[in-house]
Amino acid sequence: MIRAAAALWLGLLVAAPLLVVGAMSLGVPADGVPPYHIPLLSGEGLGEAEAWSVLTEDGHFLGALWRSLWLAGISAGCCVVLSYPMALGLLRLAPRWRGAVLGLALLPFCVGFVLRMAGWVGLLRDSGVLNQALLAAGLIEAPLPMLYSDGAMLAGMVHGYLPFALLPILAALAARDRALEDAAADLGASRLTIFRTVTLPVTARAGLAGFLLVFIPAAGEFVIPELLGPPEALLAGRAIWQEFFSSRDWPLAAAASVALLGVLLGPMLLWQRAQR
Amino acid sequence: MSLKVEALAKRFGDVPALEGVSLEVGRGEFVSLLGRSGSGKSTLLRLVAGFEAPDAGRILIEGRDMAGLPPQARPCAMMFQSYALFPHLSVHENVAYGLRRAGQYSAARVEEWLALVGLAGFGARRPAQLSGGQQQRVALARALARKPPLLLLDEPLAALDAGLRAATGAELRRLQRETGTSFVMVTHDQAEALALSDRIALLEGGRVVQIGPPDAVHARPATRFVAEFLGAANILEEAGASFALRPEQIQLGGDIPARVLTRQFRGEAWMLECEAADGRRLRVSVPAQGEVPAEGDAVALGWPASALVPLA
Amino acid sequence: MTRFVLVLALLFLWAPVVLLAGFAFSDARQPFLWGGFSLRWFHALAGNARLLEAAGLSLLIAAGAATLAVLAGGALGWVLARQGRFTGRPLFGALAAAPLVLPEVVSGLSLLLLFVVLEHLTGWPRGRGAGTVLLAHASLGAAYVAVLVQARLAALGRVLEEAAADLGAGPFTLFRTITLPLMLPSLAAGWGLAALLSLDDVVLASFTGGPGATTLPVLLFSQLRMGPTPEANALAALLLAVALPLGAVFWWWKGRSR
Repeated sequence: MIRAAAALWLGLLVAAPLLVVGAMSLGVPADGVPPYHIPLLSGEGLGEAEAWSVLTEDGHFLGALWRSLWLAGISAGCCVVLSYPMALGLLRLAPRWRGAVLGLALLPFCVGFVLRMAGWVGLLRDSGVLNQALLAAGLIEAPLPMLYSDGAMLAGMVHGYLPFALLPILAALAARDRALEDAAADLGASRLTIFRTVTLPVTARAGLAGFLLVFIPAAGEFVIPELLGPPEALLAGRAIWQEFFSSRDWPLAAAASVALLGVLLGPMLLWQRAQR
Repeated sequence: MSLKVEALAKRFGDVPALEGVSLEVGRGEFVSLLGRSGSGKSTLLRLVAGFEAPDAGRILIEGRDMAGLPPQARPCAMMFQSYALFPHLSVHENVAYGLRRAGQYSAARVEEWLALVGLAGFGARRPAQLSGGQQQRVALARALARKPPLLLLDEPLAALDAGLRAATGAELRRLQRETGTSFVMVTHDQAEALALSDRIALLEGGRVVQIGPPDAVHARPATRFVAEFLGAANILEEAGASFALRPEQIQLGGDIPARVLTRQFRGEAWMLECEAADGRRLRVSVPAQGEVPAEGDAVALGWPASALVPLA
Repeated sequence: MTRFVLVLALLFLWAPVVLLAGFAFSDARQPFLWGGFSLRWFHALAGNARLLEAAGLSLLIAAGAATLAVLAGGALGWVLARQGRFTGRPLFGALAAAPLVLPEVVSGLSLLLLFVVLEHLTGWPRGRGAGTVLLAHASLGAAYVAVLVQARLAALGRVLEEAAADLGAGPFTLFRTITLPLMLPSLAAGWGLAALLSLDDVVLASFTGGPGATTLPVLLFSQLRMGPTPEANALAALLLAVALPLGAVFWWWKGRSR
């Protein structure tokens, strides 16, 4: 009984939406409310799948998809690279302070995602705090255009997603058997060699999980590029949003979503395997 | 008859766990199931308790067929190796749990049981606030509280420190006598089984290979496995047959020349590892009071013919 | 080296937040510009009806979504941990975990399209609003609750439930007296997590909410697209002022109970 109820929940709120997106991607935009016509749902067969030909023939969207994967990869890489020394540093602290410092690292998140990005806008924009300081110090004569750049976008991504990488890596490092590293040291390995040959391999699963946990949502990120990125930077999340809200081309937005999902299917399956 | 098991069989996938086990446990009897891990002894216990269903065979408790009955409907109680004390309930509520389910709860009854296992006044504590030995006694009181005719014990002493084991074992035996409950205990420790049980059933590869009182099983092992498992017997091959020969049955001063390789002090006796002239290795127990040969010494060994126990 | 990186990372994480909260006390009309100490933006915040209304709606949606997520996620986690193998179990597991990794735009769009198509076919839900946002947030929250519950039940093992059955508890009593109390810590943590996810979400609420259902993050986001506002700074300062002492008390309490 409970299993049936749980299956109904998953069917209605997870499986059905994905199926509807698939069906919508085969539809055509139409005037009216709602602005679409789906041949498949009206029993008219598959139809022309116009949205898909637009998607594949127009380099616009494929470019956005590619840029999204790049940005997600670099963001996830930065998060993992930052998480390892952070986690090791945390674990060197006395247990009582470890909790406090971890809390300190997570506390900025209580302000909420949007307001944290507002902080970055205030820090980086032309009239922002950083430019004010540089101008006052006489280091520059005109404000540096730092906001709406790839760098600002990357800073926002790392700021937004760091815990997704930090927490699994911290858990794996805390649970590791320290005797392995003592043994490696006893056998003459240097500290860097120990990290490379022992610490990293025994926590590789968590590192991979952390990477993917940032990579997958970052590939579809909309809010951060919208607030911090260059206006012309077309990314998958932005493309879907614009097709839906501005162009009101629901089938094209749906097709773009399916394409993004298709590209992310491999990383998602890899994540599920890294969980075991 | 408290428990009767007939031709019980169980497989897990392709792996047979029990292959036609039959066993009878009388009222008020203490029977141990002794064997290595994988011998099927725990599976037998779980089948009786009702956590698994047998592929074939019958289980009768107090003469009643248990087929198809879920654990909560069976009259037996189980004491788990990990104790399985409910961490979110107090010691009092843990002991009360079975009584409440049966509608027999009274606070006085729970306190009586706690007093019986030497834990009077501990009722308000949580299991995590008790020592291992105390937890073990709570688990025992909880299992016995409803006065089941049959108690199943899964390695009840295994989680305790070695020093605590003997005393707790004696306590277990005392409670068993006082309550008149039939006990079926699973263990891999032969000393524990020999010390506590009325009868021992030895399991190997999902079968019962020998069953009997501890002294009888110890003196006359039926198979090579039993002889080796029950403690350090020598196995001799003579005229195509195998015989068991206990180390304490071998005397110094016979007609078989040998040399002492090593010796170990065992408190009441020395255990000598000897090599006979024909290459056979023999373990010989020598009382500590008398003259004991040193390592490297030449000795002569002998034994009466009656000391040889033929093995199946 | 690791301590150096840790300090740098803390600076990186705190810099924008400290600025945000600090300039809340500036008298200047333009945010992130110092114009002398003033509390005027806190007064302005207290008088901002639109913002307060959005905050109230967000809290309501978060509480409702978290409660629904605990019910659904608790069931999902229990099935995954206790029902063993059944037909369709791999699909069940994949669907239960899917919301954890689906990009927000994809789940937002797909849930919205589901609601539109459902309304078209069955007449329910009538339009989009707080109810559809709540459902969308609950579907995300339930996936997190399910993970927590499944992990807790798997770590506990089955032996406690076997012991209860052995002591005479039927399936319903067993669930009420043993399984549910043992699940409780993970359900409470799940409720909190689901509520936080709901309070922090822009994308799902933008897609599945109607014009009448603007949550606080959606409102802040639409304002921020036009540029930062000093009221947002005041809100951030307020949130920090609540969270900092809460965090400190929690740390002190944990240190004492150890």
